[in-house]
Amino acid sequence: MGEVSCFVDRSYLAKVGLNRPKVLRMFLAILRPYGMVKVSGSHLPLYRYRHYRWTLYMLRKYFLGLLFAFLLPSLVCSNPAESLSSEESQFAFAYHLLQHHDYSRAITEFKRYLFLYPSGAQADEANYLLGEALFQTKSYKEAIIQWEGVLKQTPDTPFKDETQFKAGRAFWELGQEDQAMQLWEKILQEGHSSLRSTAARAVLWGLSKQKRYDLAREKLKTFPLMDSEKEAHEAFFQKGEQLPYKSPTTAGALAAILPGAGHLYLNRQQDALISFSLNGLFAWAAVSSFQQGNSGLGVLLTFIELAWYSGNIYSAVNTAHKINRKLETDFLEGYGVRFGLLSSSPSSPSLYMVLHHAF
Amino acid sequence: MLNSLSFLLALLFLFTIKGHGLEPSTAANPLINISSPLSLSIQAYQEFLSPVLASECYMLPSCSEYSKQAFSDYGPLLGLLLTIDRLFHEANEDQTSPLVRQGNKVKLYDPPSANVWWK
Repeated sequence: MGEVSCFVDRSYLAKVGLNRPKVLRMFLAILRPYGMVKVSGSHLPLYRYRHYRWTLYMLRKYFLGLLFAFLLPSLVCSNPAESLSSEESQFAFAYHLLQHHDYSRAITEFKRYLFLYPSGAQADEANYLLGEALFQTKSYKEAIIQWEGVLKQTPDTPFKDETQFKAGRAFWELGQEDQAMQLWEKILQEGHSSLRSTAARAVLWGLSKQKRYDLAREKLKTFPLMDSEKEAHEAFFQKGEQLPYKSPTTAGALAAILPGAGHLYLNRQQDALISFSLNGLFAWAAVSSFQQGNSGLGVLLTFIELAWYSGNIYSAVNTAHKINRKLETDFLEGYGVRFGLLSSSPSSPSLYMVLHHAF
Repeated sequence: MLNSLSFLLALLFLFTIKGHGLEPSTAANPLINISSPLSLSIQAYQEFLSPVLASECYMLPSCSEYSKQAFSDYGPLLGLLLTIDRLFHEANEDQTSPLVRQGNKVKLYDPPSANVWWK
């Protein structure tokens, strides 16, 4: 049916330099020698003795015309991609790719959707999800540009809260924590969705990460959370303030005074024993060498001992920092998991922040 | 005394300097990298000694690989300190480093970058 409708389309025929009478004459000319065309109630005479030559001549004469008239329209009208390129299918395919973590292809397909249907029924969602796909590929700057563009062009988008929250996440990943929290607080002031509670928790968690507990307490009073939840946040603030940090300076100083003492202060007895033994052994060997007049060996051993000694101080300071980092990470992870901000990722050994409502 | 001191200083420098000697020819012979005597000694340990030792390092990367990475990424001085630090702290490292799976083995993940606190 597609071929017929294309064939009779006047505008198409005009484009290829044909018109309807001309096409009809071509038909008649081709079919004439076979006696298949009836004109004015009678068959045309047959040209039996010139049958083949006549056919070849006509085919040659109208070959290109026939090609344009029949083949090209049929190719155009029977394009198999046409059924897939409908608006819903395009969006569904892009969404399918995003759900199956094929983010780079999802980016292309959402862009294709927005190019083909810039004011389509799902354009708002496609704009938001395009940013999501960019975010998932760790293209945080591009994601922010995308989301900020969406908020600027369509300020009343139904995905406003989600877009703001995720833009905040992208800022957070880029280390711009204050900007992230500003966006989350904006949701608290202007938002209407259930994301307001999540945004409040995210702000409190972010302030705890920055150790700004006084400010967190002030904000906690005004945030729209249940009293029981506020008490739980307060408990986490107190826990965060009382984390048993180790002093890297003390550890380094103790290690300098007596090798191994720094590790002992950090409750790492085996490390302390190794450090003390190696330093003691090489110091004793160096001193013995000098006492026996073997100054060459003594200098060599002194150099090696100096390396052990410096390494011992470095190790004590480094271990103190590592212990403190571990304490903070464990605390923040526990806090985030408790309020649904962090979740275990099947693809990553560490924890990552998720937004359940947005995606 | 002064002569021996200067010799030892030069020796220490040569052992720890990055890229000393011939250019690395890993393409020609991937088993031998003679960019520095220290690299050569670490490579020799990894190729000949480590396979016959009964115990296997439970850290990831292993101490020899860690040392190579430390010298390569942070230069001779910090590379040396990081290597010594690794030898000291590996006994109690289960308190601070995360566990990761390597094949069917579980190891403690402790790369050089985890031991440079100011970066």
